[in-house]
Amino acid sequence: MTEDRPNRADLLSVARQHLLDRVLPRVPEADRLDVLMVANAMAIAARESGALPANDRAALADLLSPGTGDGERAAPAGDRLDRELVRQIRAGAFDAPGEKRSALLSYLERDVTDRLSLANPKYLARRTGT
Amino acid sequence: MTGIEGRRERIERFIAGASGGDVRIDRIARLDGGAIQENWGIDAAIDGAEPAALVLRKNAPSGVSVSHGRAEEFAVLRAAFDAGVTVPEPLWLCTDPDVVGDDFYIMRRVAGVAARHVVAKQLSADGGEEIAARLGAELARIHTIVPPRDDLGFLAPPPATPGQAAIELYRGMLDRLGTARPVLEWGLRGLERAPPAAAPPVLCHRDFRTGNYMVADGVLTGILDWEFAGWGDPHEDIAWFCAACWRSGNFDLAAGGIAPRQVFCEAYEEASGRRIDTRSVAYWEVMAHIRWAAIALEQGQRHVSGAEPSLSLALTGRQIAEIEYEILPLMRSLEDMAA
Repeated sequence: MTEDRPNRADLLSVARQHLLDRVLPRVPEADRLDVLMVANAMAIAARESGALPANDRAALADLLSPGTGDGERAAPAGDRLDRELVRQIRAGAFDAPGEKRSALLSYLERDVTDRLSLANPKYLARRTGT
Repeated sequence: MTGIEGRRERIERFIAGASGGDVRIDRIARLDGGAIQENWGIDAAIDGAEPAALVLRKNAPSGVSVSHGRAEEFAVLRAAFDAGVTVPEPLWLCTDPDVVGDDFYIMRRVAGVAARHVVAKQLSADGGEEIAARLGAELARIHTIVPPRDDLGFLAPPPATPGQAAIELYRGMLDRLGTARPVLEWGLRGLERAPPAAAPPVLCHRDFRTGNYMVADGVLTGILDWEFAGWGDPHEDIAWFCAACWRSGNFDLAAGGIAPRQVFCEAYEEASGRRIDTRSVAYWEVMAHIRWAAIALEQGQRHVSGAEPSLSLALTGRQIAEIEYEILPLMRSLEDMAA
């Protein structure tokens, strides 16, 4: 199937702008929050329907089984990787100071920052002072 | 959910029985707020006196898994009132389902605004330090309630190690939700390896934050929402109040988004006569974010599962990234303190 334009990102974006520019000014004060919540949900969806941050699953796989994560091996489903990571964290596999622990921390920091940049980039900007 | 307006006569009869006077209800209207409870404002004239401003509080259709019922909340509110905490005076508890269909209690209605963003905006501009100091003293007063207490016998016994008990509680919540959250697990594991100093147990409010107290004309009029109260480490409440997730974007004002942290903490120390352990607060501040994260995931799941489709629940679920974002730097500073 070829993709017709406007695509979903275009549509979400223009619909949200219409909501804020044309509908919101006519909404009674008591209902403004509802409209803003709708606009917020649309903004998150629009960001996620655009280009997503590069998925770092290869780094995660390497973290879990060092030496095998060449980035090309058949990656388990993301959810299974997260479950394995959680199991290992609980079991203390990352307790000892060192490279493995630092690698996990860098991975977690990248992952949470990427997710926040989609869910709430304003929050991220305020917290990083950018 | 139908309202309770049609139960006016039954409510009048209940109040008459409980107060021993003749009762006429002039007005019943649903009040704002309360996803977990329904609050109804009632104006009732008792024995021909001027109508009294009351609140009827009952369960709402959906609940959070760890909150008390109304009978228990009433007992906690009564204990707080008797300890001199600024709360709406609890009046009568009703456990007869024939009145409004569920347990409820009636308390006096206090004036003011509680909504978090409104209060944080007003008080961060003006009067925040006064309220923060008052809240520090109020929290110290709450923490004068200590176990054992026969009237609070329904509360779970104080855990020997409240931190570890919380870790197990939140791991259990995550497991039940069936969701793998590496950042939360990182925090939980770090907390597990660095327990706080032991502190004698006190009554913790467990939702003591901006949004859960009423302010009228710059004066504190009542501390609300006692449904999560239980025995625990006093630092848990201090950390919850100061946690970044409740600062409404006023990140520099650690005391609830309304004042600098030290204003609140100094007032608490002065009123309680106890020193606050800074490392314990840092520990519980990580826990605060893990707890809020688990609750946000639970709320998001109520939407995702189809149990309760709701835009508000869906958006709360997506706050997970900003909550988790706070945890990693908090863990780093906690580790620096331990070193």
